Amino acid sequence: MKLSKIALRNINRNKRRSLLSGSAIAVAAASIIFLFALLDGMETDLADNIQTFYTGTIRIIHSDFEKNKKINPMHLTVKDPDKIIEITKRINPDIQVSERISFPARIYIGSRYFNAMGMGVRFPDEIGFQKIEDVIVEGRFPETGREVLLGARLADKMGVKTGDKITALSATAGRGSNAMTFTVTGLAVFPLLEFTNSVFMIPLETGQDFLKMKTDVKELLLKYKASSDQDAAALIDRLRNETEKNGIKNIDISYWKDINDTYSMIAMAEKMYMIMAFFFLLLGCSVIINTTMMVIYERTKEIGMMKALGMKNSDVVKLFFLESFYIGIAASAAGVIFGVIISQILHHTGINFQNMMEDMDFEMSTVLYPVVTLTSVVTIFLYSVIIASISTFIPTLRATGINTVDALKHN
Amino acid sequence: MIFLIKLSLKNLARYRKRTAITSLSIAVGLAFYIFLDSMIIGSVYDSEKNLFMYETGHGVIQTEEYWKEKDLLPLEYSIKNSSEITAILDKLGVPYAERTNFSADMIVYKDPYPEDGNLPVKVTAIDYKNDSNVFGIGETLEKGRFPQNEEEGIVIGAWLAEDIGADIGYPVTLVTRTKSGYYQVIDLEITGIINTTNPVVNREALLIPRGIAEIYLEMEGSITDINLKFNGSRNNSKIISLLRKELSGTGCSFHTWQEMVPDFVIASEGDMKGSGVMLIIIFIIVAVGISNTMLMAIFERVHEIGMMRALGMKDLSVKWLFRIEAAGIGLLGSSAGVLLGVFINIPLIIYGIDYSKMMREGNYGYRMIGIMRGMWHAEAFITAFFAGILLSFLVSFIPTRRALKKDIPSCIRD
Repeated sequence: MKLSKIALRNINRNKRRSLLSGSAIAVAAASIIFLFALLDGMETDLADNIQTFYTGTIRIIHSDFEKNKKINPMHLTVKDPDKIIEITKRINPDIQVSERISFPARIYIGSRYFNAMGMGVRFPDEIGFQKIEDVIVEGRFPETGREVLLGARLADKMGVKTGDKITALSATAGRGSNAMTFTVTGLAVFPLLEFTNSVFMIPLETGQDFLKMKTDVKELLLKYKASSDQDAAALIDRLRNETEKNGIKNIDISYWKDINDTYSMIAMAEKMYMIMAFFFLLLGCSVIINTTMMVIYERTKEIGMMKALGMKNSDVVKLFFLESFYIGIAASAAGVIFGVIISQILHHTGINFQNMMEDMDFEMSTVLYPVVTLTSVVTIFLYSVIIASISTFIPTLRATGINTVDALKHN
Repeated sequence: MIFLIKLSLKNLARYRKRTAITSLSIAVGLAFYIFLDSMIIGSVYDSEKNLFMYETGHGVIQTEEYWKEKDLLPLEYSIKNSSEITAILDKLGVPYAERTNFSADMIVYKDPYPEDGNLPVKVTAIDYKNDSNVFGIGETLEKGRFPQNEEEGIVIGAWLAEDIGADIGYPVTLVTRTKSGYYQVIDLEITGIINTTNPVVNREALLIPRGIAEIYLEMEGSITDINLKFNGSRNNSKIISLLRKELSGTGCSFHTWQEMVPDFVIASEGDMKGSGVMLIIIFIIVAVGISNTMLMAIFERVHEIGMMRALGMKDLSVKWLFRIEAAGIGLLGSSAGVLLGVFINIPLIIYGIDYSKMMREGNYGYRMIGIMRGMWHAEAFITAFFAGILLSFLVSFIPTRRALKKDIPSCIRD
């Protein structure tokens, strides 16, 4: 009789034992799937927020801005942004472009003033770029002139509502000071708490007028789905060549992962994730090994019986390996499916971390959505099956090493 | 009972491998919990030390109006009767430091700075001698000196200096408003750079002499904060309640350090909750392992159970036999877990995990500048130890009930 048939029969014969050993594998697999989904969700969210709100996939700024960014050198602007956009679109018409001017400002309400972060943007472009329509919770986005969209918590702090007027003061590109009064047309809740707490958005032209920037912008953010880091590097090289050919000087074109403080943060967070993932894999491993090994130790007598009936040692090892392999496949599949279902439900409902993120400079959304990736599903499935199957070797080899009479006597 | 314990121990010894394997999974789970807890507690301990030393002291006295709007640093609500308050503190024997915080726009110009620019800042006016009653800023000077009381000098944090390209002797212009609300420009020269172990201070600190604030902000002898340091315990409840009583009617109130730094409290509490969730997940995984072991032990020994019952052992005693056996596995697992926890905690305490790059870039609530180090936390070891035993004991309840479902003859026949 084929060993695989005997293995299947053994599994069937002692359903309870098979179920027990399977359940350990399934629980371990489901827990790890969920944990990985949470970690992947965090990473995707971080990467998405950084690209949407801070750097784009590729960022173009004045070449001296980055090293002086802490002192907000408003005069270090990107000149002739239209020309750069034209070049970009010529290279790849699908690239989304966001022209932005972000600047620190103070908003005056009576005798009080509030520190805030102003942002001049082209609202129609931001519909595609940061899905601005989805974040507006009241009113509408500014269309022209002196209209402003406020972060909802900033508005709340200032006691301002839609229709009210606010006055903002900021340093201009010419190193002077300028104040401008805006009418609040809408309130927004951004995925990032920092934005909801401190950002006000005005039309780009109004920002240029306010900060005396003529037609310049502070930065151009380009967003597109880079198939790989090399693909992005190639695009950046082309952009650099083309802009240089067209006489555009003093600009820095960078890939988001190469911008100092953003990607290093993800790398740091990943370090933490890896430690946690490692422990969970280890824990899952110990439970799977524990159950599998125990099942076999309990069956030393059976091994003795098989050997007495003439079965070769290698066949006994194979038989137990196959049993565990089949249970491993079924249990891992069940565990992975269960883990995926839980993660998918939470992917739709989200997990709210707002309370934990108050006042933190963390580019993570307040609501996190676990993401199940094919890689983690396949990896964890294989991991569970392999661990369950391999862990049969030690006890089986030992059991087959005992002489038949002793094995038969084993309790 | 002694008989049952003896029998359980005999059984554990008889099935040595099974006992060892199950204990191992409990041990790994508990060691992970100890590791996580050590990291969080270590970070919280370091952060608290750095908060007390450089940022908050053990608490602050402010006027009630000021506290309500403290984020806006409203000078008009400063403490006018500070001598009345300090007399109370002297009477109670509580060391204090008087400070004035105000917001300003800091303007720097190209040459000597690398670029023109400005940034919104929070400035703290201190009396350097009085400040050392509570804070440890005095010992953190990396370069230069502290200015005299009415000297137009400023001391800045080391990271801030690095970020804006500042050095000793560089000029700084602060644009602010006086206590009465008029615009004021203060030109100062950097006389010193401090480097503390608190990232917020390193990134943001701008310290000027109290005498300068008095003149330029027209403070008329008032201050915004009186920071306190309690002898002995940081949350000295006896002194706090006495202080609160004495302060009633003065228009001022006392606030603990926790109320002053909600970002830190939220971050640390969030992480504690997170580790709690981790512990639950760990326990679920471990519980499956233990219950499997117990079920297996019971099913393999149905015959034995039948025999014991036939010889007159009560059902309750059989149940307790397995429960004690499970608790024994728990005890072994917990002991191994605690031991493993000690071993993985040692490198975490000696070397730690390097988060300096992350801490340099942004505020994550914690006040430590780089290496996240673990800490010996007896409570976690004790919790892990007893939780392991209790979990094992409780998990055994379900399988033992199943063991007694069958009648005696069919048990023996099994």
